[in-house]
Amino acid sequence: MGPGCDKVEYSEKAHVFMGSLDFAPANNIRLSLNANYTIGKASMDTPHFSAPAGFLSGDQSSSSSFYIVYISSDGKTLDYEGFDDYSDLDYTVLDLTLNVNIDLNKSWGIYGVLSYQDYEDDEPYAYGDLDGAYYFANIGFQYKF
Amino acid sequence: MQKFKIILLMFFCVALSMPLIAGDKESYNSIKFGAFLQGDDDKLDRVAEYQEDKSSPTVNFNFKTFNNNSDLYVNGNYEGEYTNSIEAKGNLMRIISVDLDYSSLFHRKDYDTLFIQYDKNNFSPAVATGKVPFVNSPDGKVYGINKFIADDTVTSPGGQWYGFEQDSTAVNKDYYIKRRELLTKVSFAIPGMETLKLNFSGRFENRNGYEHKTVMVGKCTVCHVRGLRKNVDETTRDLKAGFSFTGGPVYFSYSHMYRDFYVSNKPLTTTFDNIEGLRSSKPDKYIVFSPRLNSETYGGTEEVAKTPESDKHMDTFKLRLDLPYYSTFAASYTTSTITNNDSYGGDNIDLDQDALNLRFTTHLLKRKLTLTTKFRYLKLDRDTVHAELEKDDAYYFQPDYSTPVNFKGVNYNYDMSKAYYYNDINQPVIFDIEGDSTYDRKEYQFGIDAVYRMLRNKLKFRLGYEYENIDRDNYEVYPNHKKTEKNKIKAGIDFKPFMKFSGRFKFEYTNIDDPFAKPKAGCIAVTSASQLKYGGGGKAAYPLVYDRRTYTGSASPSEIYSYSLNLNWLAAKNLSMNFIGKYTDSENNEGNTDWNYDGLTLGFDGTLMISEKLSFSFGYNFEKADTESKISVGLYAG
Repeated sequence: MGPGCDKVEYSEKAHVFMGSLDFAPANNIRLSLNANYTIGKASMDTPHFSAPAGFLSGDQSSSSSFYIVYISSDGKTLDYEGFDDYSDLDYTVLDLTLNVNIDLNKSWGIYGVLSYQDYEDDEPYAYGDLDGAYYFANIGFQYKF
Repeated sequence: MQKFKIILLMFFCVALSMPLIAGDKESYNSIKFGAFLQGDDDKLDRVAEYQEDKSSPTVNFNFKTFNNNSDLYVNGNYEGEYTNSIEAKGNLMRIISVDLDYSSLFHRKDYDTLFIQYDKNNFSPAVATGKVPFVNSPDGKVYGINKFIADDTVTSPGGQWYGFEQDSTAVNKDYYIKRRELLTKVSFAIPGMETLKLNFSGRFENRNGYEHKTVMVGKCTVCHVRGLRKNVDETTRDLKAGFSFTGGPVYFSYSHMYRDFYVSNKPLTTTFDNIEGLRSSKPDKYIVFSPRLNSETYGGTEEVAKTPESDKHMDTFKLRLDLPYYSTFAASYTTSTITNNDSYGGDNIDLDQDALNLRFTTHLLKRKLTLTTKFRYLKLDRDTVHAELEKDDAYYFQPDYSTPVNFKGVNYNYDMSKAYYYNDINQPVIFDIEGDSTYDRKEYQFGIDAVYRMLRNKLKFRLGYEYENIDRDNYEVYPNHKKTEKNKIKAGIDFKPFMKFSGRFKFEYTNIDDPFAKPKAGCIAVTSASQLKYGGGGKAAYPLVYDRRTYTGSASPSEIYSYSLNLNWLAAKNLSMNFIGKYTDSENNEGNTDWNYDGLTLGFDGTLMISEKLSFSFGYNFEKADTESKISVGLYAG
């Protein structure tokens, strides 16, 4: 028991790509396509806590020992290897949306929204692996008066 | 029933809009009706955080009708039981204006797996390949995160050797909040006194659903966590009344708001771990842990994850004066009291807040120079909290150290003269404290900004200075230092050397004297195992963990350098491009703190109009942030 202390670095990076296209193939038809792609990453250094001599000589199997027994392979530090994994992030998000509007006449029209989202999680943490995809279509008629 | 009410409200608004305004009028109306069809694959937590996973019929309508003196606007949208909104705005003869806004939202909530993704069955000292440290103890058991039973049914609450456990009611359940909010605003202009308006408004917000809560249920809390499913039914109601006066260069308003927050869900309870450890054969005299646990019900059931009910009264005064030389003066003052009606022991706790904001803007040198000064004062004052465990409720013990304590074949001689958890070893432990709030403070802020236009729209210089003083009543950020002072200087230049090219460069430097810090955050290096025990081998020395944490630690900067650049370029008649860049360098080396942060943001975007019927937009953003900080952890055994 006791305090352990170390200086560590936490690094974050994100790339976001965006694109959209507006197209009117005819006077009564409008199309709009939006695409976003995000790459997010984060990582933390492994902390190493200095170990006093008593720790290293402590009998790990002793039933009376209160010492921390998780000692790294070099035998010199209290090893928290893997602890930093909890702070790591590595994910991608894809978001595609297509809007369509068609005027049938002065009053009536057709509209549609098609959307697809995908999330890839390569560094699960507290909430588990959050890989997932979701898609929807919102379609119908419009009446102006 | 909920769906029926919403549809009824929609049709009520539609019906109102038709006959309300008679005579000559103009109208723009539309109705959409269709279907929302959806599908999914795997987890919805991130891809549909605010989306119900249900297909539904959809309705959307817009009605706008107006004449010279009156108008009405109604917009409604229905995409599912909890994804809908309706807004209605009306103005009748410029005497009464009404604004109704209802919206609902579905929010999917996270579920903490409690490390289920890691091997839960084969984690032991013999195969020390796990992701977390563990500790050995005298009884031969491996405590801490050694046994994972997440997703398993907890059959024996209180089994302290379970590091992380998921309550059976929490596994494989949905977690979400359905939020509904209704805003109403009504204003009356008194006939004959057009300068005076009476204003009334109300707000109703309800959060209903389930959230996953983690609570610490054992003596070594951070290694003994239980996941629970909490039913949430929380409501906030606001009522506001006031008036506003506009006459010539003077605008003045006053309002009083009353807010109450109440909870209707059933209380969440859990059973706390029994206190085990040395001398567990005498459960009423747990030597090691009892004196340090401030719970009435270890081994019993207690309400957890409770949100306290509260109410709030707030008075707001606002004043604006239009002065000569294109100058304006604005002031606002708010005074409020928030009362916690569920504080421990039954005493209501008040938090008083007073805030004054002043701003003066003027133009000099034939409007080439704009000066803005601002001042802010904030005072927070919370009641002192008195927390006490009565003797009959508290676990306590009369120490008996005349003979060694034998546990699992090992004798423990307790030298109570070195015990850290007693001032008087002959007195039972009674938890009885009065706590002053770390909220209590006075804050002052002053700033001045100057903008000088040298070449009309082609060249502008900006200079600014800000000072902030946070004077805390009951919290020392560093030994004998309760105050934080910030000084910031700002400089910038706006340039437009060509008609098609413009930009802005800004630089800011902030110096913070005694930034927010946590005393006793850490961390004296341990150089000898004997420092971690007192009085000889084998004795538990839990208090030493805290005794050795004497260094002040901070994750706030003492110096910040910030640079930003924006460029806009009309590259061609049909092509525009923008660039942004920002770099921030922060550090804190005060005392034993060794913290720094570097942040970089780069991005560009553009629009290409290929023809009237075809356009293309594109963009890219890059963000990078590196933070270096000391981390300190308490290492425990037992």
